[in-house]
Amino acid sequence: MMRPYTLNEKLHWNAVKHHELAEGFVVSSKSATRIAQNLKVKSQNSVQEKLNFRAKYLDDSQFLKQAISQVKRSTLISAVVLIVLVLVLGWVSTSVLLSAQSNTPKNTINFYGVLIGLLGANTLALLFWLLLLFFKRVFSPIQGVLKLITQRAVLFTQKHKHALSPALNPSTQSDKNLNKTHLFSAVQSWYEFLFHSQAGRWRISTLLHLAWAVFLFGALACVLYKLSIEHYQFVWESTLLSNDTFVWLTQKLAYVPNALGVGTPSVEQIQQSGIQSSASLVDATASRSWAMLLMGCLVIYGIAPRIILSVLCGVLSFVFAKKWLPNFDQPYYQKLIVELNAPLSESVILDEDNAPTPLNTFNLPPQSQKNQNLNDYLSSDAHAKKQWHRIAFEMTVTPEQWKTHNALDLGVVTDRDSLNNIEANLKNQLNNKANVLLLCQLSAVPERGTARIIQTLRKQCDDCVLLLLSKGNIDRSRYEQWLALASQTKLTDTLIVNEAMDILQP
Amino acid sequence: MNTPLKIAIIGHTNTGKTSLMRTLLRNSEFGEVKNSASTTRHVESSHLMIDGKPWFTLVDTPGLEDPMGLIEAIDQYKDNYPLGIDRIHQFLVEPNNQFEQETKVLKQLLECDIALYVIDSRESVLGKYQDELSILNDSAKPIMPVLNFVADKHNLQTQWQEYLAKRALHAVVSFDTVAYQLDSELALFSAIQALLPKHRDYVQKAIEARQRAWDVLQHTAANTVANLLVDIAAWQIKLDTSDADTETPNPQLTTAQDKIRQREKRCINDLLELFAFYSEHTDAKELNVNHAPWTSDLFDPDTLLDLGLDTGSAAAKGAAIGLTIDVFTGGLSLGAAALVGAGLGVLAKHSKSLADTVRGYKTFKADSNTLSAIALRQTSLVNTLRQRGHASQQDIHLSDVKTELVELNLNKLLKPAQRHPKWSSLTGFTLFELNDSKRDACVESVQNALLQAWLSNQDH
Repeated sequence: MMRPYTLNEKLHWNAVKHHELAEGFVVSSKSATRIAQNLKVKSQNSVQEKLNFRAKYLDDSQFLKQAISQVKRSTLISAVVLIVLVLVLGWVSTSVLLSAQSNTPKNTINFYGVLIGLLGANTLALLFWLLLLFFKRVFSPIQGVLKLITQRAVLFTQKHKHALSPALNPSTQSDKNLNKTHLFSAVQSWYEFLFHSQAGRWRISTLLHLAWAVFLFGALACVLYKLSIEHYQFVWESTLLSNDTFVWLTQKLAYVPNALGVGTPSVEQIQQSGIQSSASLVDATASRSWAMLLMGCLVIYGIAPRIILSVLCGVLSFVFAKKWLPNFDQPYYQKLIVELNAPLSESVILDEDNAPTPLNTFNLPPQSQKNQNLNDYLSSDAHAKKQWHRIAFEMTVTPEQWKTHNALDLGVVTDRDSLNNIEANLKNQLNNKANVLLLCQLSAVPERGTARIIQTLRKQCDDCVLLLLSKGNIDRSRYEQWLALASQTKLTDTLIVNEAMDILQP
Repeated sequence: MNTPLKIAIIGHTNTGKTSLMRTLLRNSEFGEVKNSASTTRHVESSHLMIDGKPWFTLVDTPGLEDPMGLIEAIDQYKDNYPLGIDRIHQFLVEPNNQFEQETKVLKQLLECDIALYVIDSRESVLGKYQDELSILNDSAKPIMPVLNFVADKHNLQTQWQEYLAKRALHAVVSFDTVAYQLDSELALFSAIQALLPKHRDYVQKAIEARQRAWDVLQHTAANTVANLLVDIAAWQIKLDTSDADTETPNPQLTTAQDKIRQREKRCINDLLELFAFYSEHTDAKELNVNHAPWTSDLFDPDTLLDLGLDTGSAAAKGAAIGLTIDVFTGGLSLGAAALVGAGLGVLAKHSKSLADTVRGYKTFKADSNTLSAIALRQTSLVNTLRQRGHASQQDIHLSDVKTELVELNLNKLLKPAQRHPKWSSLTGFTLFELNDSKRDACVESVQNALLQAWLSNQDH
């Protein structure tokens, strides 16, 4: 069972990729094979296991591993700095908002003005996030900006690492050996994960939700502080909406906080707080109710959803990070996989060869007969007055031009029955005295089966000449194989003959 | 399914069993391939990997050489064993030196899930093959005939199909191990699927993975060539031409040409590796690529002429053949600058180039002929490799790809690259510039155009 790989290991594979590409090192089959062999990776290992081995092997000094750690540390530090900044920003912006709203002598605050000021941007950002969730393309310009920030952040930490390292990096000594390419490779790997994977997108979302939650928390803290030490009167006003509509709207807004036990203003208190109402001063109880509603809205409609989404995205990020793999469809990985798979499919001998030595090839004899016709050969002194018989094999029918030849046709060996019949004919009718011309295509492969046919026939005849039929192109190695077989079966002669029955010289 | 499906490759001697193994495994080094009998004399297996996992165990067996004798030897048990399968079992119980190779084959046949019976379709349906099919029929195993060498014009495919149909062997696949076709391979797996209904889903996964892997391979090849073209199109070299003698070859220009040559060679090696035709044990010489047209000198006017490209302008440049002066930078004369650079912005943009021009420097880049020649040569190579089985031992020939490529107007697609010298790895690239999204877009457009041309070539 293959073990799941950690995110760091997978980032390491990608960092090795970027490092190899940056160094101009093209994946070489030789190196890949050598590495695979050196590691003694067994055939059942998956490509991922091989990649993991390979990454460790190539990065034996662990520079890339350290670079990844450094990049991740830089990201974490950036995230912490961001969180602190937004916390302060939340406090400061709320303070400015409250001051701007309450510049009247009675410290009167427009409730909806403050509420929209505090939650408006958050709600819009949340809608935008949802938009990004469904329309990924919108994300690309943001990716570019974030990539640039990541690059600059890493370059900054690299440039000032001596100043930053005591606080940020416990392994300063070993990091001194990291060069720019190591760091850039690690950044690229981290970038690919963050911006080209679902896990990365959930991770960024986790951070964004957390940042908003912290911002609103800063705002809540500021509101709490201000409302604790100063007295504010909450009012509302509207040109378009009627009083009844406004009361209804506020009741709806207060429904959830009310259900959760947060004190909210009553209908009378809402009507009393209208800026155009006859009441010149909103009583303290109403102000407290409005303050509770404001803080309740901040927590329930702002902080809580953001924290819930942050946890949810964190869980999704964790789940997807486990499943995440680098894009193996990239040319780099494709080349590598082809190479790494080659030793994977190493062959195994299941049944060794113990059979008798096969037919050897036979060196070509010196050329003796030139431009001779087969009929001249058969009427030469050596063969004069012989009656020739003809048997074809390794073909289904005798070639047309042979049907008019004066050799007597004994048939074609097509199967066991035809072989038995011809054998019986040679033995019983011709008393083992027949002179036989064996016809076969030169292109046929001489093998044990053909050797057995020839041996069977050879035993039952006197002279036996093998005629290898050819259309002109002579395959010399095939001819040598036939000569070897002819020698083994003790044939009288072996000739290559064309359609005009001329004997060809190889 | 935990254990891979076992497929025995069987057949008469010299029909291409090992070749089929090589092509299915994409491994041109598996076993030995020779035009003679008894080339494979042992049983050798290898895994066909799907998504990095052993999916099929392919078993290469020695060729059947004496089926007539074998059937006789098996039939001697006919009286006691009326069923063919029992006779085969009995035959295997008793050692038989005469049929040692055939014994090996029969053992594997009985152990496998399915047997592929490889047929040389150039051969007639001889008695010996009929005997073999009779024996295989008795083995009680699913047998699938595979017609090899169907790309040969003298093939007897129809004759074989008719005969096999008479023997109720209808799941016949035509698969040429030398002239590779993905469709044939997928048809082969589909036929296996039909014969092994229990493993339908398992084989289906393999079919989908092979199709996917092929698609990825095409894209990767196109991406590799597109990267080469962008690298070369973007590359520029600044040379001191102040006291240049037009008649004498400038050594710096020769070096520049060498750089382009090297980059193209790297792409050839990458493609050979990608299609698994290149390994520790094979080299370009073995594949005869040294004699292939795309290895002729890129800057030889004859090469351009062979590719049907205009050589007139290039030949006139002598030592600078294949390179052209970049009119946007180094080629900008002061007079032209005064005309063109009426605006200060333009002057600012070209100030460095202008200063270089005054000092006698000129910027050279690869000309459109060179880019077209490279595109043609690489496309030709890819087309050849796509249709080359791993059993092929023939030379690689230039395929006709010119028409499709001319329609592509690659030079237009490469225009953005020519304006961004930093996109070239030949410049000694920096990582972030190579990961420029605009460069990626340029590579993608060239890649898509190449893919389109290759697919159109395939359709032809």
